[in-house]
Amino acid sequence: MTARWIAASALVVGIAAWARPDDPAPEPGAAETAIARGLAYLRGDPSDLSARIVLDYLQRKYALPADLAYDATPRTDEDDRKLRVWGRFVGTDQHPEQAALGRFPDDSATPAIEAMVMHALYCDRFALPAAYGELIARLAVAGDYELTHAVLAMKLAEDRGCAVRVQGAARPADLARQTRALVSRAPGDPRFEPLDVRYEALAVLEDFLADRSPPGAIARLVAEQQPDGGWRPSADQPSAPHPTVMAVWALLAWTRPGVPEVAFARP
Amino acid sequence: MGHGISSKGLVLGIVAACAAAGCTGSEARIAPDGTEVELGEVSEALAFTDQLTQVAVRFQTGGDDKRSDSQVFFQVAVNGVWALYSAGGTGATWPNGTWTGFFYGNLPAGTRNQDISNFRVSWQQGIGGFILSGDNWNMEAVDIWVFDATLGSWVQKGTPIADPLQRFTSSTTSWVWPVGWPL
Repeated sequence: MTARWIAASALVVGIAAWARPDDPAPEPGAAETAIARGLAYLRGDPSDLSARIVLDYLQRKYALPADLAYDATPRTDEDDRKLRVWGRFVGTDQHPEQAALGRFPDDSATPAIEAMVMHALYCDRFALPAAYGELIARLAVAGDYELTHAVLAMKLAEDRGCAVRVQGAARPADLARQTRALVSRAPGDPRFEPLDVRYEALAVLEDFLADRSPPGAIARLVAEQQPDGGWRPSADQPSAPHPTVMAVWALLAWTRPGVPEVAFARP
Repeated sequence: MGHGISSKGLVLGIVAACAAAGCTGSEARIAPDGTEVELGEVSEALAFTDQLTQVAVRFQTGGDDKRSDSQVFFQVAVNGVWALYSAGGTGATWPNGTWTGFFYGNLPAGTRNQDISNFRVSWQQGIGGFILSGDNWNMEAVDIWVFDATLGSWVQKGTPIADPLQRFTSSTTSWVWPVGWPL
């Protein structure tokens, strides 16, 4: 009787950990199954370098199996070119020149979000411009992938201990509000919704911003997994590593909310 | 073989042409008879021998935006050779469901209406970035005008529209006007 009560209590506690109030969550176990299938998909398609780098972060943060850590192979010439700057994510710093990180326009124009992210990655080596926080705010207001990447840039700068004068839309609470809105946004045309952006928004919302996903968002994410275990960038495209690693990230963050923070890039 | 569109001379030419046609800013929607042409209509046919000096094109996106790392070109087949023009290069995002401004190109000297056989749009997908996959985008409509030097005004050649007119992806990078250049 006692053993049965303990088992029942454990089950209740387990389900409670899954189901947050007011959140039409997926069936217990469905998210874990989706994660496992997603990881299997990613193991089978290592073609996307940035997906492998994100997976390396997830492996460290969530203590995933060691074979999911970044492996320098396979590698294409294009990967080699990207690793001259991106290598620092995975501990292979090639000490790029500042110019390789992307340009901040001389005028008041907003730089490309890629330059913002890469400058944050190296902010301990090359000082960020005084207006960096304002530029982040501008990109955040632009929404879409520029918002999610702005959140990533702030995480990278924080990891490196770089001070950013945050203001306006770059404040954490505002970033969270905008990211939640991005997750909830009704697509203009469901046939072509950029699903990867929604998955990315879910991931950074749950992980970097430590905020709750809008009700139903995780159940919807699980339902959108494809028979091959991957997720699609849009409804008319096949599964691909990029949306898949973002979906897996969102599910890991949602199912393991108390996991201690680790730096996005390897030390 | 292309014909650049960013020279100072071209800009001055556009300004002069717009002044002659009575248009303001980048919006050139006044037909030769002085009426405003609704999108989707095609202006009255030009004479075969009318001299055309410039082409002006703008795009409407559909349910998928064009991201800043990719770029669009438009091309006009003049005497069997595709003249290539840039629609702004990289750096600009075209949000969902919006019209761009007009992009202008100088036609080869001496181009007559009858020398043009077709029009197409091509797209160069960006290489993406960190956790940024290569772009796709939907072209819902393309609005095509020429400056008729014989008439001294801008003339709309057509505004093909569909939902989408073309979805550009890594495997589908160009759209050719199916009906050909309307003479």
